[in-house]
Amino acid sequence: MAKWESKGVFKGMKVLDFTIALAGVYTAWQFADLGAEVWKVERYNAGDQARTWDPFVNGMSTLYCAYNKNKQSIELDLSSQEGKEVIYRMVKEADVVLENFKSGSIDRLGLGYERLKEINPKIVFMSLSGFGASGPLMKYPCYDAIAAARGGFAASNGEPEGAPMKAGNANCDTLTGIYGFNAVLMALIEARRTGKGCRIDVGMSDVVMISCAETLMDYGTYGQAQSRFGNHDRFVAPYGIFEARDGWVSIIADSQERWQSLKEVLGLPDDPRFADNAGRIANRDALAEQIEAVTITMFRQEIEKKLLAAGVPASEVLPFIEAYTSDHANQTDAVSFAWQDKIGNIRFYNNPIRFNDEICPIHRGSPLLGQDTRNILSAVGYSECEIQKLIDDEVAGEHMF
Amino acid sequence: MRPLCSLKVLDLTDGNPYAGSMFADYGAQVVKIENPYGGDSIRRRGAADGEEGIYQAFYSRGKKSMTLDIQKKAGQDVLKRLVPHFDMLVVNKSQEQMEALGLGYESLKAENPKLIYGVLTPYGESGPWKDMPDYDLLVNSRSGLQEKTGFPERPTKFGFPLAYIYSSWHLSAGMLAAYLKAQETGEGMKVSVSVWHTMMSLDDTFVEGLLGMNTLPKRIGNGFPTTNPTDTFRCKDGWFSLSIGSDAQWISFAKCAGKDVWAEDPRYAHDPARSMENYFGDLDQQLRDYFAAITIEEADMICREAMVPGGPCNTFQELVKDAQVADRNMLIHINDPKIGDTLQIGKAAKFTGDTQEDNVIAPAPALGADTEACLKELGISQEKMEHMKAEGII
Repeated sequence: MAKWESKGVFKGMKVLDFTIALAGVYTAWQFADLGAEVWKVERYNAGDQARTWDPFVNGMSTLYCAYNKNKQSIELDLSSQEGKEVIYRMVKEADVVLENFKSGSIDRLGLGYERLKEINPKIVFMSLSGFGASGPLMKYPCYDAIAAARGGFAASNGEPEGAPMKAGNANCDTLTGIYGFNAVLMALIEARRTGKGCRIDVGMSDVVMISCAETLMDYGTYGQAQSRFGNHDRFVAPYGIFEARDGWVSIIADSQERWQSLKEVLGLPDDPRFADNAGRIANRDALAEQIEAVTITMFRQEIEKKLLAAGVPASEVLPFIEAYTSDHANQTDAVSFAWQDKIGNIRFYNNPIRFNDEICPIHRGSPLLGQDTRNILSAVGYSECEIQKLIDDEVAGEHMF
Repeated sequence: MRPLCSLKVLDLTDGNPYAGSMFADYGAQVVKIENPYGGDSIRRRGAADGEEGIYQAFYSRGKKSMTLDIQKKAGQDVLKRLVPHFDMLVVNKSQEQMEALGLGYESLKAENPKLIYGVLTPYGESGPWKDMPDYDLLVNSRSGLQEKTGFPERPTKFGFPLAYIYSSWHLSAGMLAAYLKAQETGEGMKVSVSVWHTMMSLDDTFVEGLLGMNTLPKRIGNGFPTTNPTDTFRCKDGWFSLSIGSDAQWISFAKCAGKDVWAEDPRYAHDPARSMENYFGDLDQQLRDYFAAITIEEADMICREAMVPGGPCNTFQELVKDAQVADRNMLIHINDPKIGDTLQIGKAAKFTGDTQEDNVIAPAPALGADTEACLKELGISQEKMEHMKAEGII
């Protein structure tokens, strides 16, 4: 591959990336999209565990592809002293180190912050984990669903008497990934000012507690509260999701005027219980039933169109495929085609952050295991001869799967 | 550590405080610019007409407040005078709307070439949906995630503004990135994020599922399409979440749960045999019965012993008593002048050398509390201020 030259805001920045699975990988993904050189260190002859996750196309995990575009892969045996020496050389060149092993593992490998800062005191080192690097839960395993449970995310969604509900994707992983990205950038700003780096410790279950921000304040203020409120807002009614003939529609009537318009469009009868917002909130369930009796006879697109025309905020609840293939997606650079080794040209989402109205380019798909081993070793000062020796000794690899 | 202590931000957002809060929580000086007629609409969240609610004590904590009517020419002039004294400006209006006020990026860049100008819009600044209404629920509804969240019978609305939080954190990161760049080049940038694009892009899983399996995502409650069992179960005294990621974890769980048959029976021992069809049938009911007979604490102990991911579905009630939350300083007290001592979420990023001091965050300001101080710094006289007050500009 021809040497790629970054034009992004992070041109020249180098990230030493030990992350696996998703949460930390998402942080590294942001650095890669914004133009940093991300050196993803992968386990010798195995790689990131996400490489083994369903589904596959031509032997390549498409989940791995989704999370690792724009990065470079170096395959190393970190248990060997020679492997560690490679890392020590890479740290000299790097601005950022990211890791999300189980808490403490990286220290035991001899690659923890205390060791690496001796080599490069300006390094910003982020550890991202399920519960953070302290506390009674520190050593226990955590996936997205468990962070959602422990951090109060799941308990904030769903019917009050029904089950708590997590998001329909691995939201707590990515939410933590973007929060961690902010934290690293803050530390880089501070490092520029003081000349000193630092270690950052971010836990998934801490980040997702933002979901309880309001209910916690209810509790703190009134001494009691409710944790979830079902499919309708707690302060404004109607404000929620209603069934349509062919799916679902979200409707918001957050003023008396909009309520009147909604009534007219749907032909709702006059009902003294629903005269003002306070009455509509007090009779939320009856109100939802009355509205749904009408919406269920109409198509979702028709409801949206009529309500928007009458000035009532509303939207169809689009199935993913309709959002993905919408004119809006096609006309706003939501996705780009990029070459993915082993698969071909595939569509990736562009990063949602735009600089001076331009999207961050996708210059490559996700790397095969060890695809960039030689280039990275050479970039940190190893000679051809030394590189060959590392590969022959099975310290570095290029298994390319 | 207060890593952003050198940063000054003008926050023009309305109803969407999360980007400004990211900066304020970590030490930046964030000045909210609010209209003089009641200010940021977030102030009224959950309040009776004409009053302020309690939640702005969280949403505006650590920020300052200045009233300024930027719909009026004199207000626009003041904002232009403020801009050279700040590193960043963040707004949730489109450029079209800001340009109409004479406050678009190009105009403000002329006042401060190093300015980082952050823009959050529901759908971006072009395309057929760009003028669609700006509500978290509606943007989420157009992204596919809303349709996919919940049990098969019905989608579940999120109880908090997930899409706004996500996209604001993308915007704050983009602005910090641009700020780092501006320190090298001396040139600022416009940074923009679409809430909808963020919600689409964070979930490449859908696309890759489509590519790899030729299937569309389904709404499967608390399940996960590729690892089983992942689900939420009702115990004797509340809800418990289990998330098994491999056969080894499953076998360890089964043994600790005293259910050797789950580890040995070939119908259950291996994924994908232990997957959707089977899981949502026979094994599902067995798991339900199993958890229904034990307490959350017992379930938690089994998962800890087995070293498999599992945990209670905590609400604020459990969080306030949780030893992990306490250890992590994730609940802090803020003495709000209006509602008194309130319990709020702490800061999730822990930096080396953090002290208790770093968990202190100033309370939310009253509307316009810092107007005079800010104007004074610009050298605007008391007399002029009185005049501006009379004109309804501040």
